[in-house]
Amino acid sequence: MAQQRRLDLVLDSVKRLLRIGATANLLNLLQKQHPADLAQIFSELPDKDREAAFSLLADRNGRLAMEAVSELGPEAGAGLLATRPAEEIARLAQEIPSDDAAALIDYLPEELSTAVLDLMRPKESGVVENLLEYAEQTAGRIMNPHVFALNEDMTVGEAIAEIQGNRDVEMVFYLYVVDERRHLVGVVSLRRLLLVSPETPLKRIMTADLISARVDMDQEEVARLVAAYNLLAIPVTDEENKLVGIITVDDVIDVMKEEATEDIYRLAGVGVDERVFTPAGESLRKRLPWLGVQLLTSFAAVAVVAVFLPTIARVSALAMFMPIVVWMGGNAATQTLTVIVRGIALGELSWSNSRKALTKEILVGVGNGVALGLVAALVAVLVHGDPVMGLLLGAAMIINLFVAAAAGTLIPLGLRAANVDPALASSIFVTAVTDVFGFASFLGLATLFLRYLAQTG
Amino acid sequence: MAAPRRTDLLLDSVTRLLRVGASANLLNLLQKQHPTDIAEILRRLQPHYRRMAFDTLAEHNARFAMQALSELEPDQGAAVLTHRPVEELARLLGELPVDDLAALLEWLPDEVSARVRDLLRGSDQGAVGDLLQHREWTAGRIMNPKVFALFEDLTAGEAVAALQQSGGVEMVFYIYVIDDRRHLVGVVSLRRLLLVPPQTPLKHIMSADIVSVSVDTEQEEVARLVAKYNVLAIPVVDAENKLVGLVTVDDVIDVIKDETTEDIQKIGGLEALDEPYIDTPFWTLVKKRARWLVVLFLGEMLTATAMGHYEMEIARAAVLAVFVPLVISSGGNSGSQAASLMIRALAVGEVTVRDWWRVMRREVLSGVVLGALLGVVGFLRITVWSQFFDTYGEHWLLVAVTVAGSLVGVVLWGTLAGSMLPFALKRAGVDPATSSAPFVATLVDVTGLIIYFSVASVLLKGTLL
Repeated sequence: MAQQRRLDLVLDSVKRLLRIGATANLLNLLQKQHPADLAQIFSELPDKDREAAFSLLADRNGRLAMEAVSELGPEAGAGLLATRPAEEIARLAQEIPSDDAAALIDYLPEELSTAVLDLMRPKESGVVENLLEYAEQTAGRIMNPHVFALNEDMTVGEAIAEIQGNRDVEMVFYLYVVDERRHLVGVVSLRRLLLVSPETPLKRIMTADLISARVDMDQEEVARLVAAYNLLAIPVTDEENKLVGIITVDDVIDVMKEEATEDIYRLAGVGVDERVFTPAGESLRKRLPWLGVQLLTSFAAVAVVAVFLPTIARVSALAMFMPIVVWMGGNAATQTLTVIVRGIALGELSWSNSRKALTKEILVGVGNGVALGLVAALVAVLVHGDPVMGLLLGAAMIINLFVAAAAGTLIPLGLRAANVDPALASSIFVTAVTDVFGFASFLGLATLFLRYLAQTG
Repeated sequence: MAAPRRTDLLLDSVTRLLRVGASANLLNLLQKQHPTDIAEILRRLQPHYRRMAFDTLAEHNARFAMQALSELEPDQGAAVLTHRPVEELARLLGELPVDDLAALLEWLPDEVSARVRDLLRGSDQGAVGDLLQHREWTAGRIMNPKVFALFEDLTAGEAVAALQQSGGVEMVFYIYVIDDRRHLVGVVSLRRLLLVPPQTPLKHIMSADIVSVSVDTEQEEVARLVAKYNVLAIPVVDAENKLVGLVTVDDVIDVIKDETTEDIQKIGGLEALDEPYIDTPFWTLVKKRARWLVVLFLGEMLTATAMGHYEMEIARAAVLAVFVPLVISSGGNSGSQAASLMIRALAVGEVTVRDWWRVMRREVLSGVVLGALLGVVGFLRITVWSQFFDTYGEHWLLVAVTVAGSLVGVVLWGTLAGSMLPFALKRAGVDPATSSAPFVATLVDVTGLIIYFSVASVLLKGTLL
């Protein structure tokens, strides 16, 4: 972790230099850092220091400052930018690629972002506005519209000259080839260009069979394509197959991280945009609705228990064992849910092979139910001394683990089919189902066999 | 979703051709596909068809067939290969880059893989041996040892010429610059080479400030660095800063996917599956889950024991039992939320163990407020209900206060336990994702019960109890 230690040292120096106001030295130090490291330094500074360091750097080296800001992520980055006047934001926003600028501007307060767009150079602001028109989380929204393309009639020599004249384009590794109406027709790798003689026409060496994404493709699907085909970048086309942008692999990695975080949070019922250091008030607002919904669903469980209250009053030991049935159901359901949701996310699972998954899950559920039901029955007999109680407990566990497996498989697949993110609401529904069935099966069985149970008093 | 539909059609045709034994047509069809698509088809075929399809392709275009095979999970790929004679295995495996070769070798049965290694080309043999001597899940294990590097004294023109002769090297994006003892001293991008006059020495155009990893860096850390610095490849150096390999971004994407899946599965309370869900055999699936379920189950038996202590109270006031699930599941849920947040934050490097105090202060605050809000809802629910029904008896107000008070305590405790457990595990050198949601929930369940009945025995003394 030499990297981390070095950053800690830099962070200390930055704080010290800010305190004594040694701006020249500070600038010197900041300018030597990689934008990603700067972003980390910014995020670890207290608010006031962060603004001071940023404004210092922004005045001297706008591009580096903005690269660091976009590494911070759109939300935190926009927060830092919002402290500056609109004119300056407009100037700074032009220092970075338009997809990054669009992401930041999108997170600025409404009137500030309008002001900034008005102030930007007409061409740039047009590009940014176009990007913001695509739906969120689609290829169109995250692509970089400055894509380097060559005409199919060029020769390799002309192509190389063209590259040499275009220093501003982001990461050129694939050169996309278009026809005279900008339809995407092929791709050539930069390396390939170096290997053939300069007179060769591009048409002859390009690969015509290439993978591209439509502007309205979901970003998760884009990430899946890039990962599956080991691509470094994927071209984005509009509905007429015209080349309109490019998504590079570094953006895809960000998408993958974002989507994974989203899935993990949703499985636990946490709001998607929350991070560890999101302000406490906001965290509350994001977590409370889920806890509230869960509280409401647990009233359903309460209602079930209330129905059987006379039974519990006669055999109070039932209260002792009933949580076990419910929690084991909940735990087993969480396991099923987790593998199913991840399977869907990775594209391994869909309706077509869902029957296989369901059969398997139910077998696993019943298998685990039998094993654990036996243990539970044994323990109940040992602890409580009532064999009938043990029998009921075991039977109820088998029933509830069966229910858990079915609900844990069908609910996420059903949500997926209804076009709802399966990670989103699955856990709430699934645990509600296992709660209700758990109590109902255990207490219901107990009521049926009440006369065989050892009764209190 | 255009891509999956295409492979669906393809799969149908392949199955049909395999059934009628039209191997010439099959070969024709397969050779037109991308290796990734072939891998997808192989994955979805029945095992004996999978082998047949692979054999047909391998006979005519061994390199292509092997490329497709290496896109499968290594255990699956190895299973397709095992039935072949070792000489042929060695020939087929020789078609692959060394890192993919090593991954497949590891999944072959021991005696087969030892004999295949003896039969490999000399250069491959050495390289595979080098890779396999590094620990699993480290940069040394996943790197490609064939990395394109040039001496610092060469000129840009000479570099381009060298590049043109380097047919077999995997994905060149950056040209690494080394000194005469193979120490990594800098990097030049391919594009930069084109922009300078041919006689410029590499030394003058290279960037000396280069992010590299060492052979024993954890693969998760490698992935984090590649993602952080937006690089397409990261060079791997040994203890003396000598360049020994390269990890490319496509391998990093695989690492990110695997590590994320592992985390999610651990959070969900199961041991990480090593294969895609659909391919995991039934008994493996049971085994991976049963262990945790049994552990959790034994933990929850403690709840029964805890409840046993309060049997008197329950016998006297059965109405208390009604709210057991409510109080406890609120604690468990808030604990899972907090745990998931911390696990992910630790995984992506947003917080480190040093931040635990800062996190704890915030989580205590959130816990109190969340608990209070839930308490108010619970209180209102019981109050309103009691105006119409008599479920909760004459002391409903006291019951409501008990439930509300316990909710505050349980949610606070859940949030605190859920957020601190991942830190404690990380500190102890255990993967924080082990503090899965069910694990936290169980922990909070047992202690939540004690909180609930303690509050009840204080508040209801003399009335219900």
